[in-house]
This record gives sequence, structure tokens and C-alpha cells, in this order.
Amino acid sequence: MLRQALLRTLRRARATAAPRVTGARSIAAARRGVHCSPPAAHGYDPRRVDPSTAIALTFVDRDGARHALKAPPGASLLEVAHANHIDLEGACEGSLACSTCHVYLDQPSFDLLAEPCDDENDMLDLAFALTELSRLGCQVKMNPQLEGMQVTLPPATRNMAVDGFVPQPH
Amino acid sequence: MRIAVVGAGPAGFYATQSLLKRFPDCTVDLIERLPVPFGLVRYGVAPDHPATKKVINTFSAFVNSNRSRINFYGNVAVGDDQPLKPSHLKDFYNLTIYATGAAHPRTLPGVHIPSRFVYGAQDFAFWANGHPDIHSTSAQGKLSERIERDVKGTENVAVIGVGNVAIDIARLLLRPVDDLRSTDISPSVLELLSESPIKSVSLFGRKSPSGAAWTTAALREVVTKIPGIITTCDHGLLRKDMEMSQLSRSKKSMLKVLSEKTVDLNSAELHHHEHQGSRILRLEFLKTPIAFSENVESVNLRLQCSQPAKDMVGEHLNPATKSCEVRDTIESVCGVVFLSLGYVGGQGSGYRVGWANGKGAGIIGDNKWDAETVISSLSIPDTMNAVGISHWLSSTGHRFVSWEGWECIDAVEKKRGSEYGRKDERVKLESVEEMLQVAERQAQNMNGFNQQFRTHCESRS
Repeated sequence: MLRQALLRTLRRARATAAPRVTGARSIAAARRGVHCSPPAAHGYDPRRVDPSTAIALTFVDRDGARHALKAPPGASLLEVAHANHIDLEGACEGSLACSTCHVYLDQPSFDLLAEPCDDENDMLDLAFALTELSRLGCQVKMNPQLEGMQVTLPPATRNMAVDGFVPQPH
Repeated sequence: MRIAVVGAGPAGFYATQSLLKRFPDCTVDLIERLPVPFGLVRYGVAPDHPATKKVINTFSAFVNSNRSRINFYGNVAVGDDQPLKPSHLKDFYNLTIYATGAAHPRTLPGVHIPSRFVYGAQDFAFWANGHPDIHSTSAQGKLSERIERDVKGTENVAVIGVGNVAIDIARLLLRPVDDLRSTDISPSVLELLSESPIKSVSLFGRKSPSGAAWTTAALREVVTKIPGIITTCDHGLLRKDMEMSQLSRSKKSMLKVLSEKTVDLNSAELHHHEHQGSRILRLEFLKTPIAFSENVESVNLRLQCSQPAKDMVGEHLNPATKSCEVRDTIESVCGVVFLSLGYVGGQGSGYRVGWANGKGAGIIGDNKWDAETVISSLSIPDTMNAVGISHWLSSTGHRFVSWEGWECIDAVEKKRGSEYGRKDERVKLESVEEMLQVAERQAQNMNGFNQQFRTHCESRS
């Protein structure tokens, strides 16, 4: 009993001393300071992607930085983003109940894909900064035809230059 | 640097995320009025929308990965009428962000609302979701008991409003009750609905169909995906709206769902369904409520019907303008009426995010965008050595719930869910006192372990 109590207290102490993350995630999390998204439900390990079938794509993040990645066939863009620590939120975990994984594709890749289903279109209607090339990241699955695809994240904030918004304490 | 975020709903969590990213050396105290976190995700999202609630997993994982930088204080209300005042927070923190939501529902100006039979949409959501406030007692009695008394045995329900919340109410009342058993709906509500003789729910909107506030997703769900509900509306009105040229993409797809998937109000098909005893969802447009009159067992709802002026096609979205002319009034007899007219946002003081900052409407993800926008432009004078509220809590003896306390409440609720026969869903604790006791038991156990550990160490040294 006491031994258990001791172990539990030690475990608790360790857990509160450092963020509870393990392995490769901990390094990435420590570097970024904050870890926001849980691992995708059907995520994959980016270190174990088979190079013979991997598909190259580029993510352009909200600051304009480009990330060249390799993704396995069948993975969704949401899973690819999570596996590579790109800040794309999947609030409903890919169940078509939100529009937080909204991304822009390049025109050729967009044209290669099948039309979005009604449910995806309904959610896209709620997304910010919707464009003609908008899709939900959870619905776009990697396939070899998409080699070289470019995925751009929409802006994270309101464009203050346009609407002049500045927060004020009231 | 220590920052307070008041309100642990989606706006509070997204604000915390943005703060931790923007100020790498800050600690955030998340202060919540209720003992439990997640706000409207837990208490506003309909129980039969579990996918929408999955964002709770994201929020929890976020807290657990940043435990050393986030403190949760549940059951701590902030307000001028509360022991903990906003001025206290100014002394305790370098910065306070208010994510307190939009608490004030819009009403019908100039219309007398009877004390029986008429409730707010939030009352319904809180009732179905087991919100502790629903069990609070007022001069008219316990709110939950009053709603139960009026909903029980009623055949026709009216909802004033044509937004997603109005659809939530209709869907929950009309859908086969067996589909709700495995959700996290309050067991007492489930019991009542299982004996409900309800036949129809009517949604009344003052604008024409294209002016409805619901999203296509919510409409499509209730119209096409729920077995046992027949939806009807005036297809003549729809046709007029669909002729308008300047419709947005989302309005077009919404009107398409209405015209292709609903039954016309005047069709023989509708009479057939009514005859067969199907449950009917009536979508009524261009009708504005002007008076309620109470009967013994029901309420009469008087509505003013308007019609778009002939030469105003495309401009008749708002009947409050001259483009609509009043035609006549009708009366509808209902067992219970819910007012679902939205909320007044943008109220409160200090730096605000979410519905407290914006228009009091929108989806969960909007809050992330809003938080990023507000917090990316903040700068904090780090002049004060902020102490936080832990000292105030211990000196006043205020009962609060920590994140570990919430995890215990969470575990108890999940256990109750499985005992109740729910595979993946919980049965919520609905009383603040019960929640506090569960959380305090956890704290006592922790103290017990610490005490044992100390004794153990002392005996060895």
C-alpha cells in the first residue's frame, strides 16, 4: 500500500514537473513550446513512411513558411499535418462536423480530386476565407496522382488592414 | 507572467492556446463559474451531436500537455455581485481575458411573455444537457420541473426562430427516442421524451426562406438523415426566393435542400403522412409573433403574416423594411413555445474573446480565429509580480475544482454512463454540490497519499 502510494506520488511529481509527452513528440513539443492538437485517431509515424510509395507534397503554413513532406497513400491531409506537427486543427477528428481543417489546394490537384460531397460542402460554407480552391483537409486522401501537391493554410486571423479591427479593453 | 482567462468554454480554451504560444513565459489560470469545463460544448451542443463535442478531446490533450502552465479553477464565479470581483483580478494578474460568452438571449420587443408554457431555447438546451442551472429554483418553482410539466403530454410545440438551435430543439423532440438512449442526454429528459405524444414542431421565422439563419448542414441533417420526421414548408415561397439572383453559394444549397427534400405544405403527400401519424416538422416563414395568451393547458400564439411586395423580388429578406406588406394574422395553439432568437454578443468589460467579443453566434472553430486575432495584437506590461487567485481561494475558503478534480468528475460520469447502459457516453452529474463532493474526495485522497508518503519518509530517516 505504502509502496503504491510512494510510486503514485513520484509518478505524479514527474508528471507535473514536465509536460506529459513522450518520444519524438516531446522533442517537437519542447521546441515549439506548446502542443495543441492530440494525435490523429488514425495517424501514422512519419519516420516509417515507405519511401517507394511515398507521395511528395508541400504545406505552406500561416506565416508563408514551406514544408516539403512525404506522405503515405491513403493518409488524409489532416493526418499528414498532424504527423508532421503542422498547426491544422481537426476539432471533430475528421467526422465532418466542423470546418477547422480548411485548406487551399493548388488548381491542378483540386481538379484531380472528386467533387466534395454535400456534407463537406455544407461545412466549407462555414469556413473562414473560403476560396474556389478550398477543401477540408480530413476529406482529401493522398494518392500518387497528387505528387507535388501544394497545400496552403488559410490566414489565422482577421485581416486588420482590411477591416481596421484593433482589440481594446472595454 | 500570469494571465487570467475567465470562462472555460471554447473561447477560453482557444484564448489559452493563443496566449501560451504568444507569451512563452506566461502561466494561464482558467477560471470557470461552473465546477466543470467546456461551456457550451458540454451544455449547448445537442446531445445527439457527439462528433461536434469531440473538440473536448483536443482541449483536454492541450491541458494535459501543458500542465505546468495551465491551472483550472472551477466553481469560481467572477462578477461585481460575486465574492471574486473583476477588480480583484486586476490585482492578481498581469492581464485578464474575458471569454464569458453571450448570456443574454434576444427577446420579442413589445410582446408580453406568459410565465407558463413559454421558455428560452437555452432552457431547453440546458434541460436536455443536464446543466446545473436548470435545477435552480425561482419564484415560479424549479425550472426543470416547470419545463417537464409543460412538455409532458403536449402534442404541438412551437419554436420562434429559424436557426440551428431551433432545429436542435425540433430534432430532439421529434426523432425516435431510441436513437437518443446512447447519447449523453439527461436520463430524466429521455424518460419524459419516451412517453411523449408529440405530433408536430413548428418553427416560425419572420423572414422569407432565404433569410433563415440555420446552416445547410443542420437543415440537411434533420430533413434527410433522421428517420421518422417529415419536413414541410411552403414551396410557393421557396420558388420566389430561388428566383433571386444575388444568392450566396450557401443560400443556394440551403434552398435546394428545402425544395428537393421537404414536402409542400399543400400537397396530398403531407395529408397522407399526417393521417399515418408521422411526426411533422413545419417550417413557417414570413410570420412574426405578436401576442401570447395563456389557456389552462396550452398557449395561443398569435402571428402576423407578411408577404413580399410583388416588385421587391430579391429585396424581401427583411420584412421589417417596407418591402413586406402585412397580410393577416393567424393563431396557433401550442402546448409549449420556445424562443430561439439568438443571443446578444459583445457585452462585458476588459479584453474579450469569443461570443463575449463578437456577435453572440457562430460555430466552435470561429473562436480559434477570434482568439488568434485578439491575442496576436496584445502586449502586456510585465511590471507586476502577479500572484494569481490561489491565495485568495485558500484565505476565503472558497470551494473550487482543480483540473484533477474535473478528471475525477469525468471518470464518475463515464462510469455512470456505462452503468446506465451507454457504450461510449456519460451520464452527467447535474448538481453543483455533487460535483464539488466528487472533486473534494479526490483532493482528500491526494492529501492522504501525501501524508502517508511524508510519514513513510520520516520513519525511514
